Amino acid sequence: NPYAGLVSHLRASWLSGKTRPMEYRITQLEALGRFLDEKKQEILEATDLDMGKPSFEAYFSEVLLCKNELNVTLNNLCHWMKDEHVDKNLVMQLDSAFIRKDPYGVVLIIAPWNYPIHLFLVPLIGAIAAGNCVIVKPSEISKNTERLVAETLSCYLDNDCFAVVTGGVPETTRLLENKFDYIFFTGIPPVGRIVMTAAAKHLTPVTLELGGKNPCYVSDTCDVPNVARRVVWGRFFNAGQTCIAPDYLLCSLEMQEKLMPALREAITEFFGPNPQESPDFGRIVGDKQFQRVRRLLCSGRVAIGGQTDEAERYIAPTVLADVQPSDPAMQEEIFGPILPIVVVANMDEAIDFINARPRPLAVYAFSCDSKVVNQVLERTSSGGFCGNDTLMHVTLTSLPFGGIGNSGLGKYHGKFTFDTFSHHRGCLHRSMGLEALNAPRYPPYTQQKLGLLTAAFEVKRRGTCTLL
Amino acid sequence: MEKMEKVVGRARAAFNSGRSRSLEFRIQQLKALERMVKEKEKEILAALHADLHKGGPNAYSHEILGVLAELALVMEKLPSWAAPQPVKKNLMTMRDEAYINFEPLGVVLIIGAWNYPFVLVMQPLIGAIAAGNAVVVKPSEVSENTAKLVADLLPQYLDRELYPVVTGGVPETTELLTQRFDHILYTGNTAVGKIVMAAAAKHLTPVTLELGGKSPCYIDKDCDLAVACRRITWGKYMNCGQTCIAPDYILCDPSIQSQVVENIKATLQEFYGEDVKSSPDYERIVNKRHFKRVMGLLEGQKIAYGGESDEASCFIAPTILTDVSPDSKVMEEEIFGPVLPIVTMKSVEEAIEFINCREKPLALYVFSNNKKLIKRVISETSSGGVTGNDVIMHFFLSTLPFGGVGHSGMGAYHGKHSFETFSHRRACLIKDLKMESTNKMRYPPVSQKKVDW
Repeated sequence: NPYAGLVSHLRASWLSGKTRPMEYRITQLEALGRFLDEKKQEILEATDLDMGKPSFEAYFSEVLLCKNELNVTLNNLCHWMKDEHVDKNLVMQLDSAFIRKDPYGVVLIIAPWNYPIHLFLVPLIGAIAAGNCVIVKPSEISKNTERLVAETLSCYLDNDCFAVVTGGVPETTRLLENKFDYIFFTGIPPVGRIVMTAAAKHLTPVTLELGGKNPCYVSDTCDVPNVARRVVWGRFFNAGQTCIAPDYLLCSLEMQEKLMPALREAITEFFGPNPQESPDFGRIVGDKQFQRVRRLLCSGRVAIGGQTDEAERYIAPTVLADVQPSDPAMQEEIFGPILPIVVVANMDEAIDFINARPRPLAVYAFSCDSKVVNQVLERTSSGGFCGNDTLMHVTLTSLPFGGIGNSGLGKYHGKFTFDTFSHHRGCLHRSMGLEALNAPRYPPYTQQKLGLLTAAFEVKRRGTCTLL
Repeated sequence: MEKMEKVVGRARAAFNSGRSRSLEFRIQQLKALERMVKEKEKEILAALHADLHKGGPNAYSHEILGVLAELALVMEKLPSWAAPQPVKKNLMTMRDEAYINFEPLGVVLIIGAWNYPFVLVMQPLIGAIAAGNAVVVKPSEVSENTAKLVADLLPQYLDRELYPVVTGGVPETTELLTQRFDHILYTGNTAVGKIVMAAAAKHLTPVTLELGGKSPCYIDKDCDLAVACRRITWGKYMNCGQTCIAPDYILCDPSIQSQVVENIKATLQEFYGEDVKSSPDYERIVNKRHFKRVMGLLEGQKIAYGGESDEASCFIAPTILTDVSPDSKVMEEEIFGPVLPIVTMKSVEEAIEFINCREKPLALYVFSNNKKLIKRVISETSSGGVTGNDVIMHFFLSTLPFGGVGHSGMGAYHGKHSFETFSHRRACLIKDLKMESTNKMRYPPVSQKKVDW
């Protein structure tokens, strides 16, 4: 077991208790802040090399959003760490009852390649804030970022308590043989299953941030240019390699006709007449992924874009019209800059279409009619929902971010990350006195004692006669 | 028994129909459950007596009182729990609606245990119904009378398609676990917990595992021993020791060991009289297999009190073992029986280290007049839950989450925690389709101006 030494070293540090004091956690979190500030340029360069990530996007998702999470955490850590006192029943009025936030111990964070800093750093912030020791396993596919993280993170964090492990599938498999106290995984559902199965051997709780095909319904009553811009922005951000990107559009035939010129206009507005030359449009991360995404182009008909350049792993911002449910683009999460449009007769058909498929990470609905937006929300199920925009719900740290069903289990962001990496321990601290109050619970059991217990413990419905 | 696939498929179709979602429907079902518990009280108590030799008032207070309290609480609070929860917005979302929507997960599976066979099925069921789910209930076959009763009663009071009861043993449960559920709550032992989680992993099903372990009980020299020992005796020997949060073993200074024994002996006499076997308030071990298992733990031990047994009736007397070695069999597995080992510790530091060398327990108990010491033990250990200066009682406060950590489990329930366990918290952001100007700064093409802003 090649990682046994590392894990037991971290476990020893954990048992020493050094990660528990608030001051320690704050020091480490502030160091993470310095990492983001001092290595900003390197992060922009590494993600550019890895997937041609435009520097604005890299700054926004890999630095700005991370700093937000960091600041929310630093601003609130003291409050989050406090024992949460809870309402008591009659019998416990003189006792102290509270929920203690205990760290789990040694936790593992496995991150993917598409937002390679953000998707390990934001969980890491919560894990450190909650008082754990952490092993981070960045993705080997975004290899420049992997190298950056492996080489520099150790200069900022306490190496006794925080480590970075690199490698591919074999290494991750060996790593998962070890016992962790929590595993946080972001990636695809098949690997999510593997991670959870490995976790089951040690009864390790998990959070799985997975994916799926995020539907985007556009109703007939909408502001077409605005819809087009918001959809284009969400779809082509990071060249489509975003777990919450609108994966496909559902709309009527008329709306497809109306949207097309608006989509074309938005694409040109954002990326110019030749997106391949735009510094604001990314590339596919690797050859394997490029070929996979390129194959999806044979779906429906190419209405916008469709050009590819293998040498650069460039796929143009593409819109496919008249896509059939049986087409390749509708069989898997696209994770590329292709937007298929599937024509449906009306909202009901769109909702049925969505509900016939595995529950996605996000559902989007665009309409000037708020009733339509609410209908789609109420009649579907997904990790999260955004009405009249794309992606934005995950930038609000007070909203939980996570999936349901195939798109994942658990949630994080803001306080939810801290809570994810804490064990919520129910504590009741009683007094040694007042033993007489306990008498009704002791044998020998009598009806009279039972009557007293009932009076003490029962919760009466309001509106009924009560002694309390 | 109908094929599992059919039963689960029917529950799923019933869920997809949407009828379990309205608050009115959920409360109506919960009211029906309340009627069931009240109308069938006699039958429920009879089943518990047949399964575990539990007496009337005892069974009522441990299994029915809590259920009725939970039902009343949930019915009162459900409208407020289920309401969308607005969240704090930032500058970019100032004009938008941002909230968390509580939604049902779908089809939930509840696997009960045999030791408190009624409440351990009912309490999760209440939470799952309250959250709007369909629920498949699988009571433990080991407490067969209660299992049969639950299978008979639930269809008489609840929607039959949404809340089916499935009975059977290991083969049936294994088959059930091949089906896809949207959450599984399992109460039982660690070994089976792993099996349940592995089966859940195939479908990416979230799980709540209420398992067990050896819940330590540290008695400080500075404490009212008579009171402490009375409370410990109550918690240890209730249900004949077959309680997941029973104090499993005692840690104390050697100088107070014999006093502890004397106090417990005196309390036992007080509780069960001279002849424990004839007390209507003392239960039996659930079956021969467990009887033999518990008796096996006594081998080679110094029995300070008790040790009598009668295999025919699965009776084991309340037993205390002294000077127990940490390496002995009785200190390896969860005892789940009326045997109380005392392991001597020279200091609280030693006790804390002892506890931390072992798997995290479901409960941890510490008795002391010294508040600081209690706080220290809590802070330097980990466990599902804690009660200081008493045992068991944290279970009865529904505002506290009840669950394990590490080998003692994952997830929690009771009260609002049940509702949250069985709900999906869906993040919702509703924007205006106008106000496009505020969005312009995030769109390409990017100029330095935008970055600086």
